[in-house]
Amino acid sequence: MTTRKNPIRREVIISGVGYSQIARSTGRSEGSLALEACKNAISDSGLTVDDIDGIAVWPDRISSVFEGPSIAYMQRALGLKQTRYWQAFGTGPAQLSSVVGAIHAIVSGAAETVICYRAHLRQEQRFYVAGSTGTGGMLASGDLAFKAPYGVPAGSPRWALWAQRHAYEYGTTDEHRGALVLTCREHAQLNPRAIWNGTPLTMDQYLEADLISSPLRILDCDMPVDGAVALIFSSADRAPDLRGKPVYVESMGHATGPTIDFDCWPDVTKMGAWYAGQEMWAGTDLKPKDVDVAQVYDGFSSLAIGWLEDLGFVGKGEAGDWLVEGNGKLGGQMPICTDGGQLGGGRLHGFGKVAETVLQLRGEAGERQVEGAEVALTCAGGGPLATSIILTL
Amino acid sequence: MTSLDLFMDVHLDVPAMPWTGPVPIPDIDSAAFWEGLSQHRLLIMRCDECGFWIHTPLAGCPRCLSSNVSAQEVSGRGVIYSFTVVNREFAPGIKPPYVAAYVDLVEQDALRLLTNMVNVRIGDLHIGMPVQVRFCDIGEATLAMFEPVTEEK
Repeated sequence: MTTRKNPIRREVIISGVGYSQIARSTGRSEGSLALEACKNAISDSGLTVDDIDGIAVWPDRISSVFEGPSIAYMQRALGLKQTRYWQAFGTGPAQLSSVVGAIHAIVSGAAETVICYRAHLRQEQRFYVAGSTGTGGMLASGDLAFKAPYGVPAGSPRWALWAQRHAYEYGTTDEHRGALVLTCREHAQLNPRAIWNGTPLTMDQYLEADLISSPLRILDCDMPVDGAVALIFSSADRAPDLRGKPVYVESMGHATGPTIDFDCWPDVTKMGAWYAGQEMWAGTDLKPKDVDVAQVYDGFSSLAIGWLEDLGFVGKGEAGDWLVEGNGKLGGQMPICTDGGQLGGGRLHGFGKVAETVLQLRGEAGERQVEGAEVALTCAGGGPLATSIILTL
Repeated sequence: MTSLDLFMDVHLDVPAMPWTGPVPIPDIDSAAFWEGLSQHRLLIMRCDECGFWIHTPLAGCPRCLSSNVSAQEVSGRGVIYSFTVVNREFAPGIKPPYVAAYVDLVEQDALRLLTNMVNVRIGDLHIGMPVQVRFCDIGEATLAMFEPVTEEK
């Protein structure tokens, strides 16, 4: 039973999703990729560019490795004529901050149809070049002063610190994380868009993979790619105008507990996902057992394990065995990361999760389709950062 | 291919000079912390009203919302809450392998510092290990790293 006011319930639909080319190296700009994804999403929706009256982005160009084309660039490139709602999130609880903004804007009446996009260029070259990691070169100010000089400006070591504590408290093993990675890789074989499509993986190969930051190996870290995904959200009033089936937003959680700082978080075995989950489940009558397919966030294998536990799909410390038993595979109890996830499909930074969820609910997921999927979970984030959404037909 | 086993016998020394990694830039809230380190004293922000310890430094107390906070010296003792053996150069100029750790100071639950472990064999590290601060001068600043507790202290 819903226990909080939830004005977004069935008031907002996802009207279109679009992908760009996805590859290890395209030689293209972020703007080019984002534009391709946006145009594909508009075509997919059946709406026109003139129906779009809002644009929301996270993060706007902020001189970090996570930058994409700026909101100004994309507003101009799409030729938007009547932008009533315009929001760029400099920071915020996770990759779907822009999606949250879009949904809130539509429910409030600030806009009727909002486009969101996320573009990435493969980043690892930039990660290892001095001065290009967002640490401000040799000088670390603000929060980074407490992080960068100790070799943890961002990225894998911070996730590793969280994963190691989870392993200590709950006995999470390499094989548990490996089961998650293999589940994703197996699903990637059924998705022609997935970057690891055509390259299966065995547990032995996983266990032999290069250590990045213990306990995480390179295959625990998602695959950097060039690529973009765009999502279009509309008022439910527009449902009759769509090309395909509308997908409804049922409930959403976008809460992070005490802070969004990784290193000031009191109990790292309980991620921001737990708080987002509390908010999301309180806004719907649906329960974890009602979810047919879940795109849990797998920027790192350890995060997907955390999401499964923190959203209540399994008990604390139980995700590893649940995965080893095959419950997350297609045909299993609740298939996860059906597009291969980010570990098998490539780092689309949460937006791929939403797009895949829409394809699953529409019944357009091809060989990897979960038959009869009606209730789906999508989410993004890790550590303190979390957004989770229940989508339904 | 590099597995964790290969690092077990690595002994972590204090950083070699000259320092090539990122250098912290103090701001108004954190100035006392960094100044303390430069004097080889671990000063942590504390609420003058309710006694709550605050790290990283803030301009006020998040527990009682008092604006009266000041940097006070702590024992420098703590335990490892988590740690990771890092095998990539994530911050420019900090060469792997190194160990990043969360150390919880004994003064208060979850009074946590992100830090590096030094003066220890990697294979001897474990969560819950008692540790003590080790001040490491890096030229323009001093970092608070940690090492296993020694008997004489």
